[in-house]
Amino acid sequence: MPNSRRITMAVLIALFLSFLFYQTRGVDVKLHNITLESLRQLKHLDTLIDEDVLKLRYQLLQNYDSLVNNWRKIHQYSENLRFHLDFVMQVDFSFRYDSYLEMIKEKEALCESFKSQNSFLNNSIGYLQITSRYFLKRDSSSVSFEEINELLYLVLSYHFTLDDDLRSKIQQKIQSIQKQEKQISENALQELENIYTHSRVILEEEKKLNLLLKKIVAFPITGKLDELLYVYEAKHNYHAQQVDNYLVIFYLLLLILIAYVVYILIRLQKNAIALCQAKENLEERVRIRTRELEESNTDLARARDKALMASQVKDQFLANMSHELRTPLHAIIGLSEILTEIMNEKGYDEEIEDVKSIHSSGIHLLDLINDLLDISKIESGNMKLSTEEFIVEDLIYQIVQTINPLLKKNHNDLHLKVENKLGIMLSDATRIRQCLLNLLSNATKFTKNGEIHFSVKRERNGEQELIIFEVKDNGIGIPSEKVPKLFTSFYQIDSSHSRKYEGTGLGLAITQKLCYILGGEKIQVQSELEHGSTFTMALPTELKEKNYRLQLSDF
Amino acid sequence: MIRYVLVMASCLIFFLWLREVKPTKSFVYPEKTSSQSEFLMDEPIKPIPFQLELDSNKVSLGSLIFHDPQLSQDNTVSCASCHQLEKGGVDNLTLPVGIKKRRGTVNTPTVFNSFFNFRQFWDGRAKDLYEQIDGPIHHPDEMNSSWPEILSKFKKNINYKNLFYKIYQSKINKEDIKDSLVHFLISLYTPNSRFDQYLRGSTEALSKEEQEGYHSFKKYGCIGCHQGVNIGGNMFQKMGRIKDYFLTQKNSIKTSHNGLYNISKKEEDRYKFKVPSLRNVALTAPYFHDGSAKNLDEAVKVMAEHQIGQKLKEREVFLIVSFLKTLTGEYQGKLLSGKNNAK
Repeated sequence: MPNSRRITMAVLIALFLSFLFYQTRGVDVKLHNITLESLRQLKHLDTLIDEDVLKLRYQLLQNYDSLVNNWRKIHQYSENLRFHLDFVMQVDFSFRYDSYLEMIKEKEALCESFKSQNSFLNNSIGYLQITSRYFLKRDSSSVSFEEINELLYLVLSYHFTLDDDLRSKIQQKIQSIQKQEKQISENALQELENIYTHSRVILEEEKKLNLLLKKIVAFPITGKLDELLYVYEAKHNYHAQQVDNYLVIFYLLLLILIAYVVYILIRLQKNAIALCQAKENLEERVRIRTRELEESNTDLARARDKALMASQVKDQFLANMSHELRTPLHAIIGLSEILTEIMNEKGYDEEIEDVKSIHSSGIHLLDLINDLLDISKIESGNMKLSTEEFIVEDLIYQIVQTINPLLKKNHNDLHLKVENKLGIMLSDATRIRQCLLNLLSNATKFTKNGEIHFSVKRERNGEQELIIFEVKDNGIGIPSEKVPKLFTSFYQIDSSHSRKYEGTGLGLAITQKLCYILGGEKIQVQSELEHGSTFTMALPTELKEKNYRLQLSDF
Repeated sequence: MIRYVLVMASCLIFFLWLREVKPTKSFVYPEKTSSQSEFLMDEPIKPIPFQLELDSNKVSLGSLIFHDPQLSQDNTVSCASCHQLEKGGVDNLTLPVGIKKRRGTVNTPTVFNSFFNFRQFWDGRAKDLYEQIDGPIHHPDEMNSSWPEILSKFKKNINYKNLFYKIYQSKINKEDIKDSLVHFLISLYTPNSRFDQYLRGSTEALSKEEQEGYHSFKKYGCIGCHQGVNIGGNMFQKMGRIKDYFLTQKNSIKTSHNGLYNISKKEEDRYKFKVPSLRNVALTAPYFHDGSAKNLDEAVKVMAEHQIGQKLKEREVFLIVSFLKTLTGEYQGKLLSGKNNAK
């Protein structure tokens, strides 16, 4: 797996893990407790408010501080609730909470009205008696003491009983007092007016205040809080369940990851051990190989020494042999020639053929030995060339003269075609002659009563100047499938030929190899059975040391 | 392998950080209860506690800001311009003067003991001191400024920078400015008035006349609204409950006269105002939301006439006023005083 993809995988896994981890952030127990406590406190405070209002109504409380403080606390807890519930503030809870706030606001407004009216009513109740006393002190002549007392009694009765029958009685009483008020002073009238006003206030406000009280006490804040609590708990439980689920997945994944990491670590450990072992093995093997190599090196050196010695021995042997073999052979050849002449003179015509046979066999053997020496020299790389400048045309004429006897022997005609500007060659003339003689003698050997075309021309091939020699006959020819084998040592096309055509079988092999040494290419052969064959040999005009060396490696 | 681990670790840290619930700032008011074992007379009025627990650093920073005219648009008006601490926390003007000599619409209420009020402003539109601060700052006739403006001015001040860093460990911000101001405002409580001493059991703290005045105060029903720690400041009441106050007013009805109605839009709330505290009332003339009563005598008479329907005799007024003068408390151990301190 490529590195970049591995990192992407890691990031993805990490992100997923983090997502799970984020999902498992759980329910903060502290927050949860604060929330529950807030809801509980709010319920408690609501009852405290109701209690305060009731106490105020029946004058068990003398000031509004407690009520105000309780309201302040409610606002604080509600605010707390909003803050702490932030993470469960989803739509269904949020709108319930908002409606709760709305209710709180309404109830508070009711409480405010209650405070104002309660103060007002209590004032009137207290002040009714004071103003009555003032009035009675001032003037008891026109309006009877009993009448005012009656009114006071009725109003106070109403205050305690809230009996509706009293309302009409109070109205009647006020009207009856009003009829008598014409004779009284202005100040007294003012006080009388006050008495009426406060009586009316009591009549109106008592019922209103009680209604307000009932409304406040019956305000369904507690129910709303219960609902909030219920919804919150449901949400909380759902959330807790969700967290549990995510937690299971999270831990599972974590476990898998840890297992994977452990697996990787183990594998790494194993690999490290294997690597260590491999290293040791390798060192051991290198040591063994080095030793083997050293051994084989010494073997090789020994073998080389042996081979060198063998080669020297062989060279020595060949040199010796050629000398040792040639001396008796020359004797045989020379003596058989002499013998032939003597027999010719004395007329031993019958035996003369046998002696001639000895003579030709000797010559053949000498050729064979010369060829063998040549080929062994070439193969061992001991062939030494003596390069010199010479005129090509001269060489050609020498060769033609040399080959003439052979041509006559098989009754062949030689057609020589030499280009005018052949010029000079820098090469080994002796070896070139050997090659050409070989080719020409082959041609004349396998052609009877035919024609042999020998053409020489100069050509430029790239940077090289070449002299191209072509020998063409119309003799027996060579089957095309046998052409590739033509240049191997001791090979003749037909083994039967060796009888028909004498020869060592080394001629073409030596020619080809000499051709390479002289810087030429492979000798080209075109042949048709029964129609003759053409041998083409191309040699560079200047034999360079480099070429020579290069050609050697081809063997 | 290391990269793999690093990426995972950083992701985990990031989500851990996400999980963290960041607490938001919320102001916690000190408890107002005085020591439990204290003897108190069973009266509708309760004394102011001797001590409130407050962070003194925040209070002093708040004091600095309270006196800083940079709060106003043209750097001419500070909180203390109208709420002069040496004048009982008011300006003794009928209506306040804001930037460019603009007149306000209601009489300046005192900052002393404002913490004990159940709402702030005459119409009670702010639920607490914290919320109240925004009012005068933005009011076009008062400071006519805005928080971004104030913050940019404050941030140029090295002294503020250092103080905020020292006290709040944060840069200057709106919330902390308000917090320090609230701390200072809470610190403006005036305990140990002669009447509080009386409530704590030393009856000799009040003269016979003053005690009589308190009885009249209760008898005529003033106590119905002016009760509790702050002798008022814990309810709304209609101005002119018995006799229409605004009918006798020569000038036409202004929006500011509607009181609570401006906020609740309920007809029953028209002309309803927060019942003002009577603490240090002797120093805070003129009186009422419109500043129409020039002195205490007049204020007591108007109240009695419109709220109770009684024209008080001079003797009664004198007694009640002499009681009211016993309500002047101590700030930082010294009795409050002011120019209008009627003898």
